[in-house]
Amino acid sequence: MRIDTTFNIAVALALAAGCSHGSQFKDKAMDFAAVRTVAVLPFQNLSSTPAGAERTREVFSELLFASGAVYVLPSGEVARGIGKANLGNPTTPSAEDVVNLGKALAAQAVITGTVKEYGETRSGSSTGSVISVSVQMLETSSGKVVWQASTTRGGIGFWTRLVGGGGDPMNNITEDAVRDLLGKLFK
Amino acid sequence: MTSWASCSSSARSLAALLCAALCGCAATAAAPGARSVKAGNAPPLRPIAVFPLVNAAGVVAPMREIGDALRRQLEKQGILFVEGAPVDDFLARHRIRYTGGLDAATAVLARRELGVDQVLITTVVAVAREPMPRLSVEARLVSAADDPRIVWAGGFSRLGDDSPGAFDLGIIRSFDELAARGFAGLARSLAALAQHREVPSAVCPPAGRFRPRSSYRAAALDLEKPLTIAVLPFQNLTRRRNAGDVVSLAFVRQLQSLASVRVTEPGVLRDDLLRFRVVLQGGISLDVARMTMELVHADLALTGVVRSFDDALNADGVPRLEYTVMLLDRRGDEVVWRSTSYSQGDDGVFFFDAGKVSTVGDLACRMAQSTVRAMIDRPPTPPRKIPR
Repeated sequence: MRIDTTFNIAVALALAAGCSHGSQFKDKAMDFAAVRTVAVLPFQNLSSTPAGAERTREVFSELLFASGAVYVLPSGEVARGIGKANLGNPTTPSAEDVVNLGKALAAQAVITGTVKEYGETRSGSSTGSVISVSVQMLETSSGKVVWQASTTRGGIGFWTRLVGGGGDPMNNITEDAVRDLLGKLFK
Repeated sequence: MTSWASCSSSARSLAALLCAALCGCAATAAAPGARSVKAGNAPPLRPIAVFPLVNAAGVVAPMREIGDALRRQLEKQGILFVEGAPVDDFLARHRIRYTGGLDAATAVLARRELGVDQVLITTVVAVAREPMPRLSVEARLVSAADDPRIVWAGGFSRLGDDSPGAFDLGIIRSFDELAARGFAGLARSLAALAQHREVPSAVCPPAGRFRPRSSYRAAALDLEKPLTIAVLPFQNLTRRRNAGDVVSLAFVRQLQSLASVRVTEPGVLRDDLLRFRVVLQGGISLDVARMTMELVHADLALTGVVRSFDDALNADGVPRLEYTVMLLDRRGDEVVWRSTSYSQGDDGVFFFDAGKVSTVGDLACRMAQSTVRAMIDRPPTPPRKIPR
């Protein structure tokens, strides 16, 4: 009995090691059906990879657009709106900034994000790719956060430690992370 | 240093006249410096101007040798053309430095002063001699008219060991031979066009493995009805120079091959963007897209971003390409297609490199072709709601 329990716990832990981590908040009072047009602002980059935030932002915009749920403004249009609304720091806009941006772009919501980790990670002789990102949706009539989610994907898994290899390509991990975030949005 | 063309032009003209006299054929000279080479009993072909080749390979390229290879193949097919000194003088006289496209003013001048009806624009997309010769070229024939139009678009992408065959007997180690074989196909296609015969298809073979990884398609998009599409310069986020131009040229060729689509000549577009001081930094805004489409009377504007571009010039290298492309609709003022593609030459290759794509030019062609196919084939993205 004890061996069975220990074995089950060990299996559960092993399975959990491959899972993503993340949190979510969704405003129950928000009518998301009213969100037709969204602007994805440049993401804040806290990782050591200079292009990580931009890459993640593009993948997020792409997959959000491909979901068919909302119309995502092209990045050039967002850049024009940022200029027009005179945003001092587009990665961390204030509530007032969000309202002004919404009027400039005729968007019902803006999405901001923070990339906490992006790129290669090492543990001993093993390497792997990892991404950790959190995103927020702010509705432009009041500048309030109506949805927030975070996720972490990749890393050095059991098999990578055992047999080596560099893990999954960064592109695939980024897509996985974004799909996880969008899965939370559509849950 | 005298141009190779001007040194040999008088000698070659004399040879052509002697040949004509001996063979009893008439040697036609439609314009100063024009050359015509008898090609069997082919009817007289309309003259074309061959603009100096553009180097978009990102490295120093043997442009003279490549130009020679093109000229030889055009002569072999009996295509009447003007190149070398007369074209150089024409460009110098009118201070035209950019030969990667044809704007309306240059087209009218070319028709009047060079006596040509069409201009051949050729861009070298990738080139290398070592460790294995490689050459990728995009070309198009543009009418020398008030409203220049793309009449024909083609290209090729070759690596010396594309088809090694048994005991590697099929490997081409000579750059000149590789260039000759590549341009032979282009020249045959041009000759077929000039003789009103069926022109071989310029599209790359379809490949499902290069289809976009994600895409959005609006219900309003219909590429099977008559449309004019302006292909805007792609934003280049890579370190490889001209990566954006390479991908945009690949899309020009693939879209031009659609029967219902007319692609705006990139030279016309470039001229308009410069004239109105339009800067495409940080991606295209809807204002700019709208204005551009109004200027060139296009129904759709295609633009995008190139994020990764790897020529794979080392021996075991695999080309890689990643881009996002968008189609903007002038009427609805919104994006009707958006997709991201990233592929490498050995995607879907498992056994003995069978099906491997060895050059980035070929990869760009196939990915562009797959993207265009997806624009036509994929059903519209169904609407979806975000639940509370």
